[in-house]
Amino acid sequence: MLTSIDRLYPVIALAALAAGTVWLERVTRSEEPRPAAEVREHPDFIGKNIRISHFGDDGQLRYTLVAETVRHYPLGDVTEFELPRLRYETEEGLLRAFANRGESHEGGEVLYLQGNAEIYRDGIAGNPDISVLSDTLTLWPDDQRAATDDPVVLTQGRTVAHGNAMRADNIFGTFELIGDARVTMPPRSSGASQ
Amino acid sequence: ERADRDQPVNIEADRVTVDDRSKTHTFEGNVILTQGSLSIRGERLVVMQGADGFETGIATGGQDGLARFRQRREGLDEYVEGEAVRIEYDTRSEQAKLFERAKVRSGGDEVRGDYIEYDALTEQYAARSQRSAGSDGRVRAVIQPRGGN
Repeated sequence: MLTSIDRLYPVIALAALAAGTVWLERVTRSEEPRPAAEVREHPDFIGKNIRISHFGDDGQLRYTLVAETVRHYPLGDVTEFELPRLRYETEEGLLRAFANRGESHEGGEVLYLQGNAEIYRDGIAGNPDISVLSDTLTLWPDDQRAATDDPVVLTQGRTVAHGNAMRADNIFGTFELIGDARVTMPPRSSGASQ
Repeated sequence: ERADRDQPVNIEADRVTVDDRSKTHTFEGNVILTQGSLSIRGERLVVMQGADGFETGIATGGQDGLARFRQRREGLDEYVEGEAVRIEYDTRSEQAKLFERAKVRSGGDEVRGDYIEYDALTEQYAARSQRSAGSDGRVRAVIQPRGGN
């Protein structure tokens, strides 16, 4: 018959193992990661009135990024832009994005725009131009995609649309406003959509 | 009523996809379109925009699988109400076309059929049914007697 000790033995063994793991984790934990501000203190270069042109593998100009000030921080490979202006020339017209500030991280595939972030795009096939305004915008320049989880206003002619978030894909020409979507369109008769 | 046509169109939904290529706005989730006294409700609404604004709207889905529309009658405090599996509204012709399990009520009158066309200008409607598995192919109408003859 199993005595109480025998029955408790697995529990005691597990408890000891757990205690040992916690002790080991505490000893080997590396130093607390330094706060972001400290990472941003020492840029390795600063540029004024900078123009960056990005070419595709086919040698074609993809887009240009102009900024009043550019700072690069080696720790974390973060690049900060003041008054960034992104400009695309696609077959269907001009696409521009701009904001008060911008930031890109490792590899530069993603550009985070903050403060009066706006996309402005020529209308397709005779449609009115489209503008999108939000507090922040995340851009994937190479994929011509954009997204925000902040309230957004899309304007096209006299059609105005509001939403709580947005996903946009310039290649497909779609803007998806998500959450509490509200659109106001001019009545047809007033010839007002232009 | 006629004044509706000069009012802006307001549409609310859980989400909307603006497709600049096909010039469509696709609304999904608790969709309500209002233009003056006209309202259209459904789970999904596809709006086509022409050069001069809102042109057509196709509403589907909704409570019991039916999209619904409602509009005040000219000069009366009475409404025309309609429901169907699909409602197509065209602002150019100011007509609502109701497809499948269509029903239109106006005052005490009511018409049912597979297909009903309602003309918002003349406030008249035409109904049609075809024999099929779920339908005996007959249109049903209840017309209230007009008082004082």
